[in-house]
Amino acid sequence: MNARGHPQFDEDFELYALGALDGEEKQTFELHLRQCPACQQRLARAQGRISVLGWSTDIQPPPAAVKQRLLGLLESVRKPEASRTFRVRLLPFWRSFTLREWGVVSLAAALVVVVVVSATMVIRLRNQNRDLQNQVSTLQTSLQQEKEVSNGARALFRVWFSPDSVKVTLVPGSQHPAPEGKAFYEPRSGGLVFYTVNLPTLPRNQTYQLWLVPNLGNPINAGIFNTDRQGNGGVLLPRLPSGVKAKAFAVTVEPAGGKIQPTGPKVLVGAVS
Amino acid sequence: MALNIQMKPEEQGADLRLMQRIASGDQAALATLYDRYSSVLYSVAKRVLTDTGAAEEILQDVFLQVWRNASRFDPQRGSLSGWLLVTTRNRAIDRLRRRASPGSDPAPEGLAIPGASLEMSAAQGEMMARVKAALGGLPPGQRAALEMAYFEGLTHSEIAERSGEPLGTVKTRLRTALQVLKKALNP
Repeated sequence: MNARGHPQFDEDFELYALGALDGEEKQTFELHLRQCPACQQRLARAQGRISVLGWSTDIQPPPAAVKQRLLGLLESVRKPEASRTFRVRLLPFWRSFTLREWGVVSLAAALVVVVVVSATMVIRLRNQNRDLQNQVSTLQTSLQQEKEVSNGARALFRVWFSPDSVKVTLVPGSQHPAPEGKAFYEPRSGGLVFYTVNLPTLPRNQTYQLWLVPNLGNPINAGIFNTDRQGNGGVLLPRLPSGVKAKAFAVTVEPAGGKIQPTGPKVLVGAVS
Repeated sequence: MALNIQMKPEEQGADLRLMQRIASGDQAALATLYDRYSSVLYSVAKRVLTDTGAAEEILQDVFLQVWRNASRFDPQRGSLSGWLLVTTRNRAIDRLRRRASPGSDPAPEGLAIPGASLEMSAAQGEMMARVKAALGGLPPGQRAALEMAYFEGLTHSEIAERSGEPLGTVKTRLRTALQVLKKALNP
C-alpha cells in the first residue's frame, strides 16, 4: 500500500522521529506502523531528516584520547568474516553417463556425502566439546583469582572508607597536623585514588575540587569532595581520560557542584616528581 | 511535511566507499570516518547528557557498532550521517532516561579536554550554518520546544509540564516549528 495513502499520519512521522508523540497518538501511530511496511520506510526517512537538527548544536571536538582508545579496541572486536565462494568445474566425461548410471552415481554420491558430513560433524562436536572444557577450566581458574583479588580490595576499601575507622595522622614531636593530600595515579588507565587529611570542613555552598594538571593544556576536573569533621575526604576512581601525563595535582575551593576550570584558591598542590 | 536537507551526493558517495572499506576490516577507513563525524556526534551526545565522560562512551560505542556492522549499512535506507546522528541521539536519550530513573547516579561534572582540533568539511559547515540559521529564525517558544524534544528527549506532555504551557499550545508549536523548518531548509 502506498504510504501517501495514509494522510492522517502525515504530520506524525517527524513528530514520532523527534520523540514528541505520546499517549494515544503514539499508540495509534505505532499500531499502524506495525502493519504498514511503507510507513516504516517513511519513518526511517523522517528519522534521517530530523537528525539534521544535531547540526544546530555547538560543535566541539572530542578529546584526542577517545580516538586512540577506540582504535586500540578494534583489534579485540571480532569482524565478520567475508563469505567464501567455491566454484565447481564440470568435467566432459559426466556427459557420457546414461540416466540409469546417473541414478547410481547420484545415490552413491549422496551416501558418501551423508557419511562424510556425519563424520565431520562428530569430529567437530568432539573438538568443540574439548575446547569448551578447556575454556571452562581456564575461566574457573581466573574466576578464583579474581575472587581473591576482589576480597582483598573489598577489605582494603572497608578499612579505608568506613566512617567507623579511626584515621590518625602522625607528626614529629608537638607539631600540629597540617592539611595534606596523597594522590595515586596511573596514567595508562586514567585510574586515580586521592585522599586528604586535616582539611577544614567547608560551608555547604562550597566544595573542594581536585584537578589533574596535564603536561599540556588546561587542568582536568578530577572530582569534587567534602571532608568530615576530622578533615578526611577524597576522590576514588573519577572518570578521567586514559593516557594523560600529569604534571601536578591541585585542590581548590569552588562553589558547590564544582567548576569546569579552577576559579577558587588553591589549598593543596603537589608536583609529579 | 519533510525536512529535505542532506549531505551532498559526493559526500554520501565518499561515506559509502569508507563503509565498504570498513566492512573489509580497514582500520584506517574507520579512523577517517571518525575524523569526519566524531565532532558532531560527540557534541550531540554531550548536549543531551551534559557530561563529557558519558558523551565519550556513547561516541566510542557508536563507532564500535559501525566497525562491527558496516557490512549491514544500506544506503537505500538513508544517509550515513543521518544514521550516525540517529544512533548517537537515541543512545544518549536512552542513557539520559536511565539516569533520571530513581536510584541512578547524578550527572557528574565534566569539562572539555583540549588536544583535538575541530575539522569540518565545507559541506558539513554549510549544513551546520543552514540548520542554525533555520532554527534561529524560529520564535523562541517554538525553538525551545523543538530543542527540548530533540536534545532532552521530552514528549509533548513532558514539554508542557516543563514549560507550564497548555498541551495544545506545545503541540501547535512543535508542528509549526517543523513546518517552518521545512520551508527554511528547502527554499
